Amino acid sequence: MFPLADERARGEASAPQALYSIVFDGAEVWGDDAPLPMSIAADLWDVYLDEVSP
Amino acid sequence: MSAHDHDHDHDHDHGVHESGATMASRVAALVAKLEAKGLVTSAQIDGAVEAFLAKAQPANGAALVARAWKDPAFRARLLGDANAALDELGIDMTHWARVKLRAVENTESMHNVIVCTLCSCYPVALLGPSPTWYKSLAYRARVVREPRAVLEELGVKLDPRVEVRVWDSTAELRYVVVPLRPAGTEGMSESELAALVSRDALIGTAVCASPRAE
Repeated sequence: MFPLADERARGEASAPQALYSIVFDGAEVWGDDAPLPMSIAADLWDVYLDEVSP
Repeated sequence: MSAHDHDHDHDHDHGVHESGATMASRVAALVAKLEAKGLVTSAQIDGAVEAFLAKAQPANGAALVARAWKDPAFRARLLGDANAALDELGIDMTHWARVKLRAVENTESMHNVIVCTLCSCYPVALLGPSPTWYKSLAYRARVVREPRAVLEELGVKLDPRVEVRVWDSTAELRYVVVPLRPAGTEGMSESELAALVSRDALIGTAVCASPRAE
């Protein structure tokens, strides 16, 4: 659980929230010309994520 | 200085030199304001930076890796909770705030490399001050777009089947790479092993060479 960097940067109080390391396959990010095999792991706060319809 | 440092210094002169100068002048302006308000003195700031940097060396990261290579139980603890593993070795990653560290391990099928695409987040306590190229726009942009090409330019030749995983750091989480232990090091002591682990290997932009290959 980590405070949201966006809020801290504005000097606001920030309730800690989950920070997920999410791995994206290179093709998901760069499409057909991704230099596979590669992947990108990005740290994303809970609030950055949208629920996808099941 | 290796050829690869040179190439990046060269890029830096043409690429981010201006933003570097802007940053230095912004820092100077901020320090001047704080001094004018009587909140800090330059001497206090210099003292704090010096005290932190005196302990911040790539030898810390190398010691961590050498211990992990020698001791499978420590390796498991390092990969599970890197901050606790640091505590075991007496390495202090705290300076102004305690930062969460995650160690990512290279394997025969996965090579890890770290970057901060947003700015220059970096485990200074483990690796010492970051190299200029790590902060360059070229590295930050290219290593996520074409990591295999960047690694090849830096002399890292990977099997085409090995996945390259790029870890994008944030202010909250720092990464360190646990490189593959080179062949021919079976009988080596922890300190001999640590000598094989370069700063760049801990970033993932180099591999550890076998002592026989040198």
